Amino acid sequence: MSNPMEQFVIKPIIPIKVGGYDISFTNSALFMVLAVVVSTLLFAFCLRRRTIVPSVSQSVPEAVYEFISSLIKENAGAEALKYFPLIFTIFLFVAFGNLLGLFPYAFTFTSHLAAVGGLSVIALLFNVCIGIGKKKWGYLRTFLPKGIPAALAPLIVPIEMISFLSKPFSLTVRLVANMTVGHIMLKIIAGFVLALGVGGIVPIAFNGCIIVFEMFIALLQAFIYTVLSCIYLSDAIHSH
Amino acid sequence: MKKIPDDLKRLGERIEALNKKEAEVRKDKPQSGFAYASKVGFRVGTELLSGVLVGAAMGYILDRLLDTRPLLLIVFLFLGGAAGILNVYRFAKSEENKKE
Repeated sequence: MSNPMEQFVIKPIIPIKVGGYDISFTNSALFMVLAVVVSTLLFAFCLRRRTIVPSVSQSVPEAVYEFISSLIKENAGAEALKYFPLIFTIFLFVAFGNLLGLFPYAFTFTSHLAAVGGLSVIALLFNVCIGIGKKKWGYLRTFLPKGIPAALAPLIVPIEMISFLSKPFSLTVRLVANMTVGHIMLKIIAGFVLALGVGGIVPIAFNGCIIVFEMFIALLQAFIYTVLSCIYLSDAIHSH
Repeated sequence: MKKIPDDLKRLGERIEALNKKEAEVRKDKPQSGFAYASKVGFRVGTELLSGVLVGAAMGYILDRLLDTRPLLLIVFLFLGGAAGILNVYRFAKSEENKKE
């Protein structure tokens, strides 16, 4: 019986080595490219004929667009709308990464700490850039709020720094844990099917239910991830 | 600017009326308690844990750089715990504000 963790192994497809670093094109990279290509093609296909009153296929991208724009307005205010492309891209990338990972034999890059962590660090750096651009040196106030006595500074500054750095970490763990758990569960229950023979119909039916639930989780987690990156953005824009 | 045709205007009015109706229906429906609680619980758990883990990682790296093993690891572990509590406190406060 196959190992339930085997599906998370990163395998190089086109080995590339530059200066001692392994930058091979892996199955993880392949599915990142696929997520970008599939989402672009799908949107281009749905929007091939644009009318004021949307056709059925046109209304899908429009609904997604409206959904994300209202999300940004709710969580970060109307002035954050100029960063719409970034948030929209994050949402689609994560959502398609999660959904493509549900296909048999597919690889889920959102189940890897390194991939999602990289995305979170980009969101964090973006927050820092906006903050510095807005407040210049005053940005360092983030680590020492006003009204705190100087004697406490050696204690408060490290705590605030750790709290600041732990944000992308908790963001990442939440997405990765959800995706990993779902996929392991699917594999384990699928393992029962062969072992039980005729009775295997029960785990098959159960797996069918879980797959539907996993689709819901895939979109929900993409949504949560997007909400939190919106909150980063609002921190950067509104903090004083 | 082009003049908006009558049928489009009527459609806009209809959509607006339906949106209002939808908002009224949704207001009466309470949010599911279990889904909310599990979401918040998971969030608080990861916030608390990530503070400690990031603190420990920082302490470990600083220890290796400054060659003070294991002093900074211990100090930063406690600071990380404090940062985790701070994260949870801020999260709880923002949830409170949302409810009002």
